[in-house]
Amino acid sequence: MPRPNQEFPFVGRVVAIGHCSGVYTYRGGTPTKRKKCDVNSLAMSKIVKHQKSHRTVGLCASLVALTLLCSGVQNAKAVILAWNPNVETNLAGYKLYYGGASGTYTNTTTLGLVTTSTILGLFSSTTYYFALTAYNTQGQESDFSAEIAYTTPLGTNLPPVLSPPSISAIPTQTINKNLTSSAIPFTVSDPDTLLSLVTVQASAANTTLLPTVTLGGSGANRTVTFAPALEASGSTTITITASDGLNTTNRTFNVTVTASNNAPFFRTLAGPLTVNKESTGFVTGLAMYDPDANTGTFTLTVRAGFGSIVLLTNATSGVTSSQITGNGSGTVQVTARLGAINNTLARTNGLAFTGNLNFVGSDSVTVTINDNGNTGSGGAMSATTVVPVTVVGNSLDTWRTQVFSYADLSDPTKQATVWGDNADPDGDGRDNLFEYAVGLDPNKSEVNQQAVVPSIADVSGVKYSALSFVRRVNEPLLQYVPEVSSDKLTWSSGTGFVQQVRVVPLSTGFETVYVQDLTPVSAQAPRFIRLRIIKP
Amino acid sequence: MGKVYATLTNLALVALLTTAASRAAAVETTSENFVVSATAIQGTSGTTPRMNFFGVSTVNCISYAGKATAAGTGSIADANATWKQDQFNGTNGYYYVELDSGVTADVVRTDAATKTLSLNNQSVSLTAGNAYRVRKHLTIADIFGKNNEAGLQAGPNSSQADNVLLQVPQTQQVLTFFYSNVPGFTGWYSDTYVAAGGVVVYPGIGLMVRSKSGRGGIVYLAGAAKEGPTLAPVYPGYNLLGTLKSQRSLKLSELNLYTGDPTTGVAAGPNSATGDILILLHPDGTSATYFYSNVTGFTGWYDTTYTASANVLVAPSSVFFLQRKAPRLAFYWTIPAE
Repeated sequence: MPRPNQEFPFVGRVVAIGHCSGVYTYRGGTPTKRKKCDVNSLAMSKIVKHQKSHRTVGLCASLVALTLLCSGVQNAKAVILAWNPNVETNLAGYKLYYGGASGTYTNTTTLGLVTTSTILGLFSSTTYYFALTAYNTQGQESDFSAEIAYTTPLGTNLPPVLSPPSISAIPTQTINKNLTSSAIPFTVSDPDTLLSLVTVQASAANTTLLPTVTLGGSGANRTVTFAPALEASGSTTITITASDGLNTTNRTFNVTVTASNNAPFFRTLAGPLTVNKESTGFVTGLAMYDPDANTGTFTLTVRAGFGSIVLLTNATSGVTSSQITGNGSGTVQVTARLGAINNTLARTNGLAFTGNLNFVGSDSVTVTINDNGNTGSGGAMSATTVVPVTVVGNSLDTWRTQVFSYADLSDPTKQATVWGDNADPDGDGRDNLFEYAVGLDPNKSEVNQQAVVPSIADVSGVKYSALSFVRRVNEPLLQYVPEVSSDKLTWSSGTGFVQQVRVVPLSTGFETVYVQDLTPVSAQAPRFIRLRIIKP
Repeated sequence: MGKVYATLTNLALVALLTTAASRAAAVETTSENFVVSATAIQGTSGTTPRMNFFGVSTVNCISYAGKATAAGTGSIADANATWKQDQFNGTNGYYYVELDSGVTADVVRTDAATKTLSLNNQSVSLTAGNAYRVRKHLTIADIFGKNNEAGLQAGPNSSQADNVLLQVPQTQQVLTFFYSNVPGFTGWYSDTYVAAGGVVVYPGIGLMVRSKSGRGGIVYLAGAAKEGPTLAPVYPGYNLLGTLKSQRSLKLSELNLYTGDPTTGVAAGPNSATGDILILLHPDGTSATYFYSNVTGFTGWYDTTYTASANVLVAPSSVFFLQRKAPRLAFYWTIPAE
């Protein structure tokens, strides 16, 4: 081993040594002795002058780490040494010394400007000693770094050749223009190199078509994502490269970027809407996007099942009334640029829903955006979102929807004859409000259904008019007012005239109330009694 | 500042008006008007029986109501009907149909399959959409009590017991009933000992009670107050009629008995001997006779002394005899709505 004519100080510090299990056999060799740098006096990155030199040479090798790579517990294959780089401007490289005895190095490897080196062909269960020197462009070599020792595990001798990493196959990818691919998964494996030390890179053959190729993941599970240039189309390949430091593996897959029209989509969606009966609520949060919208016009169709839709016509840079058809009806259509549509929908009152007459229950607002073919081949494309709507009514409103058809309820001309409070569609003499109040069917006359029954109360031989009636339990909408009269012209109610005798639970949600007149009946002085139901 | 105050006042007023206007108007509905009436039956003060005359001022509550879905004569077709076979006839009792016009007719058959009510009056005609109501007839037992709750004097026969008299205008008969206290045969019977609790008392028909003791009695009735017009048949001969009114007295001129057409109402005449006559029965047992004069310059209701009587009142629950003089035919009297 040639010796440098000068000696240099160096920094030496072992940071870590990797271990693998296994037993290796020592193979021996001729030791080489070199003087070490003074470890105690040197900081890790500090340059120290060597006093034996005729000139100052700031060169010192710093063996930082000895790392054993292994791909499995009993499959150690290589030893990798790593160190901190020197900072001299005339640094030319490093020389790695190792051997079977401390300070005696029988093997030397001259390295360039690298900071790692993989040593192969070691014997199992053998202790090796490693040291490093640096050399400059003048051929000057530093002192040895601090020595580190490593005993190879018991097992198979380390092979002299490192296996290359592998990359799983990636199928051909087809994507439409202006879109970013999904994260395409692939795997990286290496039988004898820690995957954390395997470097993976990717690049497109045609960077004009695919200017952006991005890798993701780590270890074995990786992804590749690519994005074509705006409006670009065509075919190219993407090559993924994996390197373990010595060996490199490539995997290439085909990518085709088509020129079809991109579909619009909803960038943000609207949440569910809840409105009161026949009231107006606003659908907010909708925003649409189309990668190739360009300057084309889009058609927005908004449809409500049981309500009317009104689009705002004076939003700044929004749609205008002349661009809208059917505004205020159940189906509204707008043809305008996407930006204008979005500007309108961005307003808190941009899209209004009003439930139809008497409608209570679940509805939806269906919003469809159609790009009218803008821009690309393949024709128009659209996207649809459905906004759930709940129209809330009181118990009477809900009852109406249960007993009358929507066709009738939504027809205002049928209020007097079918669904109005005072309509009597079954002709039984009881209007809808009454039928609701006492739990009868407004469409069907019930035989002998006496929801309100007169009787005579006998209190110690004195007769009183009395009444029993069916009442909804805890119905805040209604007031049940028993009234009494002596002439059918003036009716009186309240505790001074009528008293409630008892209340008896009936079916679910109903009860029977018994009341009694406080004025007795006498000959030639009849007493009248009735039930008045008030919906304030 | 005064102007500002005025503005604020106006604003407040506008807000108040707006609030009031935006609030939905209250909606009301009422049940039928029900009535509980009491009619005193006077006992006799001596050995001579005392006659009591009164009319029933209530009807039973509606048993069923609907609208005809097809035209029909003598029957009602209601495709929406929910009644059962013979629901309103036969062993279920006696029912009648009333129309908004006031026409009434007995139900003779209830057909659940065809949803048709057959009526005993073939002249009754309905068109689709006409409303009808079915009520159960009141009976002797309904009025006086199944167990004689009215308190009439019971007895083993009609001679000893108080009598309920029912005049049948078609036959000009007077049926006699009594409450039997014979063990094993208690209840209402005819003077021929036929069970009579279910004998129908038609709306508008007057009743007579012949009291034979001093105890009298009182008839309490609870039911629906009869609203709207009612058509009651008036047959040749004597008809004991009531106004069905439970509260309001009617003047003779308000009875609708005189229509100007002797085929549809009382026949006028120059005196009570010629025209149909109305005999008003007073609670004290006296009576007064009236006729409708057609004498020029003296048209209208007069009594037998030729005193103008148009304003004579017929009190609620009171009754009168109407004599339809032969050979005039029957007509329907439209009892005015209360």
